[in-house]
Amino acid sequence: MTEGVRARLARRQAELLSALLGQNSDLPGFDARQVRTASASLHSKRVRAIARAWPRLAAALGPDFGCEVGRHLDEHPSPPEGGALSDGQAFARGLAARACLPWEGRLELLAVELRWRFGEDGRRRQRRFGAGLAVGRPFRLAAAVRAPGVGERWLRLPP
Amino acid sequence: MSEGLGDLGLGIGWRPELALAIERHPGLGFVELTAENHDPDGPLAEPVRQLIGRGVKVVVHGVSLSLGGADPPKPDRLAALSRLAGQSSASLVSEHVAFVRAGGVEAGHLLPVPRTGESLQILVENVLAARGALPVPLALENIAALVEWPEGEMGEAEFLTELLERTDSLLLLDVSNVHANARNHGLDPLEYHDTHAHAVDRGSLALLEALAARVQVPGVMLERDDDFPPAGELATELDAIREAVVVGAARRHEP
Repeated sequence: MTEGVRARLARRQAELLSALLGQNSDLPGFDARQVRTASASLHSKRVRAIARAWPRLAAALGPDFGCEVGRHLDEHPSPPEGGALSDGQAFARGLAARACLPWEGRLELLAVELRWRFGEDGRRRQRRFGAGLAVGRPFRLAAAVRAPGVGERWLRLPP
Repeated sequence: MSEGLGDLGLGIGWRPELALAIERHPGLGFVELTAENHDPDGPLAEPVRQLIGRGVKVVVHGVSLSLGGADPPKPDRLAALSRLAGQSSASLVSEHVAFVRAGGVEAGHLLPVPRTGESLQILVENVLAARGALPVPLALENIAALVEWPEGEMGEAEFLTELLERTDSLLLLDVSNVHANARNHGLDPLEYHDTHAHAVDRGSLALLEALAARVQVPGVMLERDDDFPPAGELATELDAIREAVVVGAARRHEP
C-alpha cells in the first residue's frame, strides 16, 4: 500500500472530523444538512455524558451548566480520550481556574481525583493511594485520603 | 444453554452500573468487557472476577483502536486489549469498523469509513496488524453511521463481507445498528435514532429473529450504554432477546 493512499484517507477523515466538531463548514461532497445534524448530535451527546459523569457539578451549576459546558466545548472542541470523566475533570479544572467552580463541584472534583489519576495518554488509572484538600470561602474545608485497607476517609469543616 | 443460542449463549455488555443486575441474572453465558473502562495497569474489577469464577465467559471489546483510520493500530492499545484478554481468559476480542480519530484529534464517537476500495485495503491491513498482535480471534462490529460518505462505491453488506473474507475475521453483528442504518437512510436526519440508550425495539428483535432463522448464531448479547434500567427491566429485555433467537432457530429447523 502506497503511503499516498493512507495520506489521502487521513486528509478526508480529518476534514470530516473537523466539520463534525464544528470547526469547518466546507466539506465538498457531503450532505451539509446531515453533517450539521450529526455535529449537533455529537455535541449534545458529549454534554449529556459530562452531566451524567459529574452529577454533583451539574446540579451545583444548575441553569448555568449548559452555558458553562458550552464554553468548555468551544475551548476544547475535541473530547479527551478518557471519556466523560476526563472531559468533566478538564471542565471542572477550567471552572476552578476562573474561580467559578461551585463548592459541591469542588468536592466532586476532589472525590474523582482521589480515585483516579488522569494520564498524559488520556487514559485514567485507579489510584491505590490518594490525598486531597479543598478550601472554600466563606471558610470551609474538606480533606480526604484514600489507601488500601482503609478505604476513603473524609474530614469536613464545618462538619 | 437454550436451543439455538450457540456456544456463548446469552450475554450482556458489562457496565459498573449494571454489575448487581448482571450478578443476579442466572442465565448469562458471557459478558462483554469494554477495555477502555478498565484500568490498563490494574487488576480485573472484583465483580467481573466473580462472574468468571462462576464460569461466565468473557469477550473483550475495544472502542478506540480506530481500525478504519489512516494510521495502523498503536501497539500500546493492542497490548492493553491483549492484557485484558489474558486476565479474563477471553475467547475473542471485538472492535468496530470505524475510525475514532484523525490528524491527532479524537472524535469521541465511532465514525464510518468511506466504502471505497482504497479505504477497504487500509482497513484490511490494519485488521491484519491487530490480529497479529492479539492472542485470540478478532471480531468486527458494524456501526450506526452518523453521516454518509459521498465516495461510497460499495454497499455496507458487500464492504463488510469483503473485509471479513480478506482478514478471516469474525462478525459481531450489531442488529440495532443495522436497523438504525436502514431506518435513518432516507429519513429526516433530525429523527436520528440513538441506539443502545433505551430498550431494544421490536424492529431489532424481528431482525434478530430473522437472522437466527437463517444462521446458527454463536451467541447473542444485549448492549446498554445509557439510561441503565433496573434489574427487572433488564431481565425482561434479555428474555425477549433469548426468545427471538429461540423462535428464529426453531423456524430454521422446520422442513
